[in-house]
Amino acid sequence: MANNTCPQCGAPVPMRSGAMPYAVCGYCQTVIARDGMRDIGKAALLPYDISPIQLGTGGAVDGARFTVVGRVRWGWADGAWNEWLLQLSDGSTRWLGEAMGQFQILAEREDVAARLPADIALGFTIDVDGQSLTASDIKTVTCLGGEGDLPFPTPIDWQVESIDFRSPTGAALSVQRDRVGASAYVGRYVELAELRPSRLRAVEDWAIPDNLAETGR
Amino acid sequence: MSAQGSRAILCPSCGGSIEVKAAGYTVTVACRHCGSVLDVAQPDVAIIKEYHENAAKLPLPLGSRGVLFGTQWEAIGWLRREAGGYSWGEYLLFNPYAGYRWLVHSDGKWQFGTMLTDMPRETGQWGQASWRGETYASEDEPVTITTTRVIGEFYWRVQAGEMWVARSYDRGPASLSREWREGEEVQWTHLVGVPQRLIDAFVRPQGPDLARPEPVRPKADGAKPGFFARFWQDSAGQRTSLWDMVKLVLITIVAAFLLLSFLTAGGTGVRGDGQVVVDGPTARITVGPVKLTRAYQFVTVKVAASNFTNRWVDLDYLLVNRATQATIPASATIEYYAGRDSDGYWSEGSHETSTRFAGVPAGDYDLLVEAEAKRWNDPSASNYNPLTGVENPWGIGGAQDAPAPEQEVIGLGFLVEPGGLPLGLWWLIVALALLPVLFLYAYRASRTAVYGEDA
Repeated sequence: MANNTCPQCGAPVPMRSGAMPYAVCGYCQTVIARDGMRDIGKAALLPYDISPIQLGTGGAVDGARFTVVGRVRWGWADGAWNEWLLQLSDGSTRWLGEAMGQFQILAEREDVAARLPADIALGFTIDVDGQSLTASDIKTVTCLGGEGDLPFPTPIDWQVESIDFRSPTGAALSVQRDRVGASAYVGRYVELAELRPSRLRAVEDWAIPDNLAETGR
Repeated sequence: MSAQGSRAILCPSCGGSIEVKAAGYTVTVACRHCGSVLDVAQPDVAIIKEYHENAAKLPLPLGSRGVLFGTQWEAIGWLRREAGGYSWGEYLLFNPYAGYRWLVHSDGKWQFGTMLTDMPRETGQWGQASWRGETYASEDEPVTITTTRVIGEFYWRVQAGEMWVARSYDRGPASLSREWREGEEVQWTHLVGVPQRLIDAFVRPQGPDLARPEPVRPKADGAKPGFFARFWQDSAGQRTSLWDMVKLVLITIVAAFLLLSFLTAGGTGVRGDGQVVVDGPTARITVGPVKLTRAYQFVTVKVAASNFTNRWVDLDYLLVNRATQATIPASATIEYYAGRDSDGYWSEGSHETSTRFAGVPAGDYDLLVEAEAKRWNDPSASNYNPLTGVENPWGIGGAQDAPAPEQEVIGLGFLVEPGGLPLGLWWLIVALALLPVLFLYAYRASRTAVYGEDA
């Protein structure tokens, strides 16, 4: 049985994804290393937001089914956004970026991260899969908290440099760097309906639109 | 599990309760009670700009919901925008499952706007853009759009005075709008028309401060004519002579002049001065005390600024009674712009202005002034300087290494004096008094001409 208990409060910590080394306790926000169920710190309590996605939301992307298993929320002086971790049925993962009501599907690309120079200024251009991507936004962001299963711990006050790249075709590259290293995520804009989502979060006073409603429930 | 649909906050300026509909997305809320602009990006709500005025009455009140293109939308924010002396409204629509759209209300027509994530390409030919295989053509030059008023909530840090350059490309009834400004990404929006009946079908929110205006009730048949109806019958139907009316008008005009002169008889003025840094912090200047001896009077504030071009100075006044601490607010702007375009040299505005407080009770007063000076860049001028250079505390966009702009100081001289004949008000009284007479004269003349009744 994959269920374990939180070393801090004893609440059950469900294993949503077999592969993720870290989990955040849904009751006391303790960050737990799966390896030995060790308590390695505290994550901040996520502030309320009106996202239609929640842990457990399902859907389809890149020819495979997915389940939302984790979330990291990032904030900066002029706003905040969510990155939802998708566990795909083929064993790979994607991130679903959700900012200002728009969605992006992103896949981690270590080969792209390895090609990045140490200094990136606005206007810096990199070719990925034949697409030319230009750095259009560079800012320092703070981790506002996390939930569910995650590939990295989300300590309070974790700051990274976030760089957004754009292309004229709607392709996107997002780079996050801190003292430890850099990660690159390549992807594209999607409409929520394209993902054929199920188990969306019900928001009071709002009906789930027909094109997003589950069939056969 | 159902999540709550909104988050409630209290306006730190007026104490009014505001619901934030798009919690987690919304960065700026302009209070629907007093108009103050609030920062809700952080847990502690902070005032960005304080106002004390009634939020505008909108043709589509915020909180209204309706279905457009198969999705239900709620109007959560509203901007008034202006370009070239023409102004229109833009509503921000929200649905938690579908994100944001725009509803533009211009000239009585409505358009539904979708922000694009696949960018149109501006083809080699100037004035054409292609998007999803179709070509859109632009007839007009780019224009500078200024946001002059905001109400509701927004997912970015919106401010009145925010300026964008925009260009519109049309293809039949649809259009593409390209908006950009220095240091920010180009934003493309696709716009299509929406028939008025779909807007009429929006459900307006119910509540004491958001209630719909009362429908006009049809008059019951056979009712006695009211005062105004009788007045109209008497005046239009020759029963009152025009000469009598002109006499009444003359008496009104003279009486108004005497009354205004009495109310506004002068006293001694007080001078003060100060200075404000362009694009710098708010300068606070106190002028006073000024002694007011009559029970009630006008108080005139005259301000003259040192020489500047393409700057404006926003002045917020507070007239404070020293004894009671009662305050009367007012505001003024000094602006002066000049430049050169295809028509040659032009200039607009002046370096001085005058503001009048009405009905100020007797007492000793101080005038507290908050001045803010801003730089305006003529987008058509060749020496275009970006609007940035403003402080950038978060280092967003990597501009933290930009050199600090050199400080430019505008000097301000104030004269606060009791009295000041409001000539504008007097002329308004003259015009209002004359209007019915002129109207009746024209009406009678037209009837005479057509029917010859007086012959």
